[in-house]
Amino acid sequence: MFKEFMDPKFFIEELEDVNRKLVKGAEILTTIPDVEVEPTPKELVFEEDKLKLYHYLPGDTLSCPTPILICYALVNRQYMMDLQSDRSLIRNLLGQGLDIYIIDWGYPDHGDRYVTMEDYIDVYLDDCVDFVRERTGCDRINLLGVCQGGTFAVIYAALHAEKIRNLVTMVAPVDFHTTDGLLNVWSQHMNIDNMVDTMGIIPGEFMNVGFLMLKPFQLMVDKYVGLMDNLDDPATVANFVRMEKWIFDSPAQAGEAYRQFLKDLYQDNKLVKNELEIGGRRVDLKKIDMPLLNIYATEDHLVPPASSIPMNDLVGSEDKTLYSFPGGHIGIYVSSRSQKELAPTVSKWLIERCPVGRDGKQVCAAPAAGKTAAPERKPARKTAATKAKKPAAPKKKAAKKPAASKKKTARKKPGG
Amino acid sequence: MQDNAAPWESMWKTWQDMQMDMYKSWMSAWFRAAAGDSKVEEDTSDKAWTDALGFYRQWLGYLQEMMDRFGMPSEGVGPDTFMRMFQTADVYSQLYAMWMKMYENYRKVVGEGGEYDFAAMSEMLESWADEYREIVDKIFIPALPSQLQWIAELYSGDIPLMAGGLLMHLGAPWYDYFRRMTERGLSLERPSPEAAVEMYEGWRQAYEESYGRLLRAPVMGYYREAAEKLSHTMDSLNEFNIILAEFYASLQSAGVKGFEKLQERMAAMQDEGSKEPISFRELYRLWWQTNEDIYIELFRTEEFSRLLGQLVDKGMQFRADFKAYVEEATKELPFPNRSEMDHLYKTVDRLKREVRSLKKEMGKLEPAAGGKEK
Repeated sequence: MFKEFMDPKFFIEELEDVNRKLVKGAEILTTIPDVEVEPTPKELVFEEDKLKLYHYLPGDTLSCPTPILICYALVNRQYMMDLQSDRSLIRNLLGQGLDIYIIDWGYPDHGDRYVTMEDYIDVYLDDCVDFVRERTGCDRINLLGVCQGGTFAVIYAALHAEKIRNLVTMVAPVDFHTTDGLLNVWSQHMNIDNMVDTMGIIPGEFMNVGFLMLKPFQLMVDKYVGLMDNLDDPATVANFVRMEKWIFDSPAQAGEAYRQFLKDLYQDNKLVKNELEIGGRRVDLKKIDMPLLNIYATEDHLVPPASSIPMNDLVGSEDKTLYSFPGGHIGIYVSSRSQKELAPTVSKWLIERCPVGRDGKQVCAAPAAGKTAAPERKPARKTAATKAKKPAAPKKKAAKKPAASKKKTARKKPGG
Repeated sequence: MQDNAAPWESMWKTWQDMQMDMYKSWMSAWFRAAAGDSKVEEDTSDKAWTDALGFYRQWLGYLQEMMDRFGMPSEGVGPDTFMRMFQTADVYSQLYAMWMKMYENYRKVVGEGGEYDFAAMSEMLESWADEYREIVDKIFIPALPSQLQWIAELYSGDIPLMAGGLLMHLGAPWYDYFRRMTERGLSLERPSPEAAVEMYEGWRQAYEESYGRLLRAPVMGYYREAAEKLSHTMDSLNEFNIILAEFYASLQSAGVKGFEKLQERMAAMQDEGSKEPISFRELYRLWWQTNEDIYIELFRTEEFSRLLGQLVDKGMQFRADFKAYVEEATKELPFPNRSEMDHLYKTVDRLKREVRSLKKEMGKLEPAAGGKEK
């Protein structure tokens, strides 16, 4: 028996509560200003075709002069990393003293249908890496790849290992032949050639239908019912609308790049087989010899853990860390737990591997035997090493060189 | 002095008799029509239309007889004129009777076995065509001037038989389809996803066997290419709709399963002896979570994955065919179409690559050139 029928008082209170929220919600929804995203200040430093490279204005102190370049996915927009001021991985990383660059891939249109994975990885990403290297004077930079951007980062690191000091991947798929993810299952029966030949570019709306189908009731029904419960709270409504904007702000996918990504990776799983070729060069994951921090989300329904975890066994790095974040694919950036845990973990891991010169100062590159350290880069602001006070920067040890004694895999347990 | 009163007295008497006869005939016809006792079309069983027709023809005959009684002396406006008038009117009634007879036979042939019997239909059609020829020979040809009688003869040959046959072949699949759907609809205890698939599959089959054949017939003339592309588009739309029906059917099955599972869960809660009533909110949560589980279970299956792949593939094929048709149909308009733009994009893409490659080469050459100068 239903409680509402048994207890009229309860029923009336429920009814009154719903009505009150509806009225208040209507007022909020009709007066809410346009939601703003990407609140953290940044400057445009490089452009190429539709790509834009931004540099976040760093804090007063840099914990490590080696900059970090964030390579986001082609699917959806990179501002998920900086959705709002109190839910911003970028802001948190800046607060930890990192120097951050981020790639905005833009919105491909029909003119981009012939852009390939080689273009994205070997041209655009490579140009960004070179630009940051040149701008900062660092021969090797840190690369952080997110989701599909993580796969790109892994491929890039295998092809250009000499340019990357540390590799960080977040919810990045590498092994695509898992049945844990519906996208992995469905993609096996898709006629990708027909799709690309017909549409040229794959519309974001088309992709979104697939994403919504992954959790149909939760994403298409319950999410909105849940909003009803908080419709009288302006902050919650604004957060909801902001997230809604991000979800449906979906760029199209350049046809040829999509074709190779789906056929070579999702269908043929060539990356783990060491059969993938980019621009005629085979991508050998064993050539990834720099330190690796591989972060996956335990509840990820888009990139299941089984797709990310094997990376650590496939790369040639001796210094590799597997980090398990208890949450989902989006929660890893916006959850309150993420705000407390993720940025400190990433920055700590990077700072621990930040090279230190002979004089004890942090430098871009580790000094080679018999040589002096690379010239100290000239950041816009002083680095932690040059400041008298170093409140945020942890004390540096000697430059981390992948040592045999380093634990091969330090797996963090959920909640740990 | 001439006695002019005699003809008028005779006419007056005739008029009175006519009025009386007309009344009797009218009443008699009405009674027979009401009782369904027409003798006009004994072979038919469809009383509704035969009685109406019999009544009309009887009334027409009576009028002709009545008018014959008038002995109008003037040349050209006497009984002969009236006879022609009524014969003309009768042509329509005979034609009407012929078509209705054909319709009635058509219904019988189809309805008897429950199947569409082409042999019986052909036999009926031939008999109908003979009747048609007879009517043309007897009624239309004599009515035409001798110089034009060959025109009517054209339509008393094989043409009506052929045309009727074609129409029947086009109509038969649809008749069969609607009959099956009606039977299916009546026998169903509750709607099922399979029924939806069967319904659409039947529709497609009927289309394929009728208008689909017409559309696929070779097209000639100025719009040949566009018409052919339109035909392909229709075909691919049909293919897409079949898979779409299957897709929806699979979703609907999961929905039914979800509802059953929800009932099971609620029954289990009762069996557990939970005295605490649940709220609507709890029911809602139970509902969506149960359904989510069921749908994801479905989505994980190989069968659904294959179906989804087919759905997308057929959708793409329709989109490609439709694009080809639109481009063909609009090729004379003063704007570039998608294919032309794609060609342009390809050229731009090639040029960009060339420029990039040349820049790279130049970048390598510059230091060397600079070194030499120094």
